[in-house]
Amino acid sequence: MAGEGRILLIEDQREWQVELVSLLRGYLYSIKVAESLQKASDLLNHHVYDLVLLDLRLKDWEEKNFDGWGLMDRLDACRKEQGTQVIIVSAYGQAQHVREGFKKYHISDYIDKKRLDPQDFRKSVTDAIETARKERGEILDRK
Amino acid sequence: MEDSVTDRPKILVVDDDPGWLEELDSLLGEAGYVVETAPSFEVAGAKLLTATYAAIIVDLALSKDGVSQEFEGLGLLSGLQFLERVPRRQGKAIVLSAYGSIEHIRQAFKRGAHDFMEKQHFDESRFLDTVREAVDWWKSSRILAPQRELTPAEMKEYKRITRQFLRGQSIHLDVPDDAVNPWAKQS
Repeated sequence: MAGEGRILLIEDQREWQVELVSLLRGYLYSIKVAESLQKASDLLNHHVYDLVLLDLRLKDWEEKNFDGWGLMDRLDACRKEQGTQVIIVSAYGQAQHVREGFKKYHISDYIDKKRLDPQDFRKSVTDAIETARKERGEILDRK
Repeated sequence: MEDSVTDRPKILVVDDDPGWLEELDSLLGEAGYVVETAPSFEVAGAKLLTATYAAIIVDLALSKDGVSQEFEGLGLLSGLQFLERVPRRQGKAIVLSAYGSIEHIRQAFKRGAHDFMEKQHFDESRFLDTVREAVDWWKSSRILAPQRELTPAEMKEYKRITRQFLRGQSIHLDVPDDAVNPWAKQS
């Protein structure tokens, strides 16, 4: 059915977990939340997601920490194998994350938390899930 | 046998700053490319309909009066995406911009840019590497790509898309604090 999708939200802050999930209320998405890299890793080992919403700083108290970025290679592998799309949702990201994210890791979008626009965010999510479906179909066709 | 001169990849450079046009023209010329320049987005938009380029270098903020910044370069990127669907496939765009905020970079990549480089930190060898990547992509994809002329309706749509960043219709793109030195190395 149109509108369905499996989303993994990797976000350590409770307020942002609630905020992002509530922005997607009304869609038929199943959203799983991982608050740590370890949990995210475990979930990615056992499940296939259409979309990963990734926060770049998962230990929010640590300045200059971009531990979420460490998942990019892993998520890129998921994209190649399963079509999984990534949207980075971050308050601290820098220009180089945006550039490398798009160029090297083919992220679907980069959302700046400080300028999050609900409509823009929802459109970005629905586009990404559509892309994931399409890419997964192409991967399966090749097999 | 193919003419060795016309066989060289052709690159379009779009910038309203004559100094940059000249510098990029000579740099790319020395690197073996055939270079065409366009001082405005109107000229560039028309050139994209009559010739095929292996890569397009686009300044993001093309300004007619030297003051206003309407980011017409984004209109050109959207135009390139449209041509790809028609199909009248061009090479990929490399954005060269004085503005490097997160939102500028995002908007450029979402419109299919191959790379985004900042003028303040312009590095010749890095730039030429990026151009080579884009040209290689074009060489590998052009054989598969059928090319055809635009229908009148498509022409109208192309003009609308490329012009949507003219005054009064541009998306909100201000220049926030994080544009000061976006490529600063992280400690």
